[in-house]
Amino acid sequence: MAPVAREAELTDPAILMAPKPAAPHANSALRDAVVVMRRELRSYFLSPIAYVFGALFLAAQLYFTVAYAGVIDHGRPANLSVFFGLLPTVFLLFLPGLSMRLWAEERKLGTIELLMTFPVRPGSLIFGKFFAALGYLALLLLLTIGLPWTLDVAGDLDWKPVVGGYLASLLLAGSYLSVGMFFSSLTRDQIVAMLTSLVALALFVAPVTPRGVVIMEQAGLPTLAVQFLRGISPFEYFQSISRGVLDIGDLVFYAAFCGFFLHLNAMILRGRRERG
Amino acid sequence: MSFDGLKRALQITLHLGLLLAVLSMTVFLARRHGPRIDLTTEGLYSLTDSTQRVLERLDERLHIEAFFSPDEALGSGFQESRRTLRFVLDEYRQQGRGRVTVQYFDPSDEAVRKRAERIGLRSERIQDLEGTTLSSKEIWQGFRLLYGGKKQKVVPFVGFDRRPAMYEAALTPLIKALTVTDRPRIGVIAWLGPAPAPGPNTPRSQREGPSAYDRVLNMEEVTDRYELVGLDISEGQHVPQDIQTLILIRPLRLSDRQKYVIDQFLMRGGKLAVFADTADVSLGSARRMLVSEQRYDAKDAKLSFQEQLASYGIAVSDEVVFDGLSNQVPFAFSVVAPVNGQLQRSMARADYPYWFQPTAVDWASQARQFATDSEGRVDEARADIYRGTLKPGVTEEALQAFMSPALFWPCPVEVAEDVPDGVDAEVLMRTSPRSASHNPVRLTDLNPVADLDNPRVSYEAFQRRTMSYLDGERELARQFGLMVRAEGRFPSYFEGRQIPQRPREEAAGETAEASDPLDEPVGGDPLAGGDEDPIGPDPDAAAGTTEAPAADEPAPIFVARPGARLIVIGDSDFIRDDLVSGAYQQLGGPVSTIGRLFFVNLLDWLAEDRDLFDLRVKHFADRQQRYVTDVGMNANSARRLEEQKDSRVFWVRFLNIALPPLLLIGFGVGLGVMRRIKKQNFLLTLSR
Repeated sequence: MAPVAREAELTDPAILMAPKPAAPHANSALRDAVVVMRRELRSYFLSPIAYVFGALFLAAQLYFTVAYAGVIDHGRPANLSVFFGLLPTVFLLFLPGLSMRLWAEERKLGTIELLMTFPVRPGSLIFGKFFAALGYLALLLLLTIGLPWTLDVAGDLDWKPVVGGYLASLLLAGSYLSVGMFFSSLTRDQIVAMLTSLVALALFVAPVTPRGVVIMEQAGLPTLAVQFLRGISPFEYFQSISRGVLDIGDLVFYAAFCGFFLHLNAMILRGRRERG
Repeated sequence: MSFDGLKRALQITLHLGLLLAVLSMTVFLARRHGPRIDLTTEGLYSLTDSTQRVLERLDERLHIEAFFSPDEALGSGFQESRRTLRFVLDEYRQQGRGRVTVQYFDPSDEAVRKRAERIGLRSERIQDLEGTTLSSKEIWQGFRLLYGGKKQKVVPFVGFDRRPAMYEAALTPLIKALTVTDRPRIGVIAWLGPAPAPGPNTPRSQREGPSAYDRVLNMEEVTDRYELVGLDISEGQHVPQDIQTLILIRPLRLSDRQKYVIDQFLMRGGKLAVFADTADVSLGSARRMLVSEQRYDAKDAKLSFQEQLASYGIAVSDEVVFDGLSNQVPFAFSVVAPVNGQLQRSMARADYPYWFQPTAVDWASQARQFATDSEGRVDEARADIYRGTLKPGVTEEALQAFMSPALFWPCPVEVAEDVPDGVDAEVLMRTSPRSASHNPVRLTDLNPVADLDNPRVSYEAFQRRTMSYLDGERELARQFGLMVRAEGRFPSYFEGRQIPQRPREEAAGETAEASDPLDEPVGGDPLAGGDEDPIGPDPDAAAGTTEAPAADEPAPIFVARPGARLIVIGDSDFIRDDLVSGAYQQLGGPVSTIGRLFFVNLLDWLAEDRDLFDLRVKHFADRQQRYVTDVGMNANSARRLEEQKDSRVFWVRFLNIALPPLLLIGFGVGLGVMRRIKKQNFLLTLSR
């Protein structure tokens, strides 16, 4: 637990008097997270918006890959590099829309107060919501499996980089979602949450694109700052995994990136819980 | 802000700062020391065994200085290539285990730029497309490799490529060259003078000069690692003992003594490469084609060089071969055609089957295609035969060892019918099954634009002529060998034959014979006399020569010692200076792009240096999508095939785009209906 929160717990009578949450046991925290995740996932599939969102996401991604970039064509090599190359941009447009509701909706509907009274640690809540959103996205990505299957039938696809590509996509989606969740926890307005996370994610993607670099430098950002932003951009680490090279360093980066933003998220929630 | 608030803000800032520092350090360490797993089946992103072997043998520190323009200055396409290059350099650093360091410099800084120029690097202008904007940029992308602080190699500019293997192929040979201490000596005998000749009427074989192959012989890649020694065996002297590898380029008018010298070189365990060429063809001005007589044997020679090679297990044909299916090199010629009502001269390019590059296609897999007649009917029995007889155009060994160059007017080279015991011979390179050979080599056969006034008509006639040759072979699709290797215990061609003497000894002998009539053979067959010298052994003479060699003449060896290997290639044009340099293009000739590389690889093969073998070609599986199977070759079936392909591609695309969203929506609708039914049932239960 973070030192600030621990100190507040020790000194704030309201917290001391409150019923103790479940023992900070790893198993129970995990169980709680799984419960939250299942609840969230169920809510996705009971909402028509999730289907519309999912169908739009799939249609956009597959249209750009298949029709626009012409990945399926006689004589063309069977690989999914274009599919994975487009995914970060499509994620950028769609994922803020998915993550905006995660906390902002709870706050708007007033259910967050109820949620906070549950004997569940904020970490379990956050992980539950995070993995539910990731699970939903994994399902959407699973629905694109027809594309590699087609390429395999028509041209002997090398599956191992494809598996790597899907793994990279999930990691990238996870990093985008963690940023989106953090901004969703800051406001009760979903549109504000979406726009702020969109801008933040665009800032992460910009230093990896030449045009973005030009714009940033024209805006007076020093080269060192641009390079720093590039170094912390999830997009930068997406490239090698998506082409089939699994670098432990890249995996550690994604874990650290997601962990950092989820930790910020937890700090916000704890602060809110402390303030009642 | 209150003190508590300030304290809290400070605590949070400190907490986040520490967290960021720990996470950054973890990521940094993981990226620097963490393992990397290449998931691709072909190992596209792994360094080859060649590079790993070379790096393992580094005795001193290798420092790579990379002078790169900033990545941000590049468009996304080039950025991807640059990322690949950095990735490759990082692999070198990791595999070097502390002996390889990489340092990056940005030449946009004036001081760095001056230093780069001083070292010998240069920038290049590239056309960069970003979105719809095309811009010209000056880009630096060069290296300096410093080995042990003493030796260095400079790559002024390395081109952009998305395939890591290409960067590896550029770097590893340089590193290997830096680490070489002893260069093996290789003997070279080239029978041609310099080319191209200024006059169009001089056949190349009649030109005099040191060599027409100086470019490949003097390449840095060659001289860095091998010491090439020009040999002269015209006086019948033996190849020096310290030379274990001998290259014969376009052997011409060989005397029997020279054949003996070559034989004995092989017998003592030498490695011999022969660039044989039956057809001496070249282009003169205005695309005039010149054909001159190519003779392997000197006029007064009694023995045949082709027979000699056949005795080792390799048969070299007198014919010229052409290929209707392998990658053909186009022939350029000028045509006069009406443009906007006016006659204008322009260049036309036509496929020319006498210039072709054998490909690694496994022709057996296309057996049905070759068993299909012009009506589109497939002869299944014939297809079955083809499946058993057709072979890949380039064998895996050849691909790995040499790479396949384009050949120009090559001659067939096959494994001989009678391969001697103890010799292993194999064809490494073949034509496609749509090939034919013919003899004699006639100018009219070879020139696609023989009639310069009517080049199109001439070209059509040429096509008809080649088709008629192919139709002659159509009964049974046939492949021709183009390169054969043989290894083992070769028998000497001169076993049981008279050992030829050196020219001066011969001359001395003749003088002696002339002065001493007692040495004249007695009781000879008068019918066998005259000018005809009998070819074949004269047992007494052979025995006599073998028993009493000249003072400095080593005793003949009749069975090859271990290590002997022979390779014969049915062409020598592809390593000619003018083809390698591209100068021949001005006369309408081809350019040999892989000739240089082939030559270096050949030297490695002969020297049994396997260090760079794995670097040659990474095996790229054929992963091309096929939505229709190519059968039949006539226009109707081609059109039908095209329509079928378009239709299938359309539907496959449509299903791939539409099906997943529809499935999701369908699932949602189904779930909603089920829930509604459940709800209604529940309400019904309540109301009861």
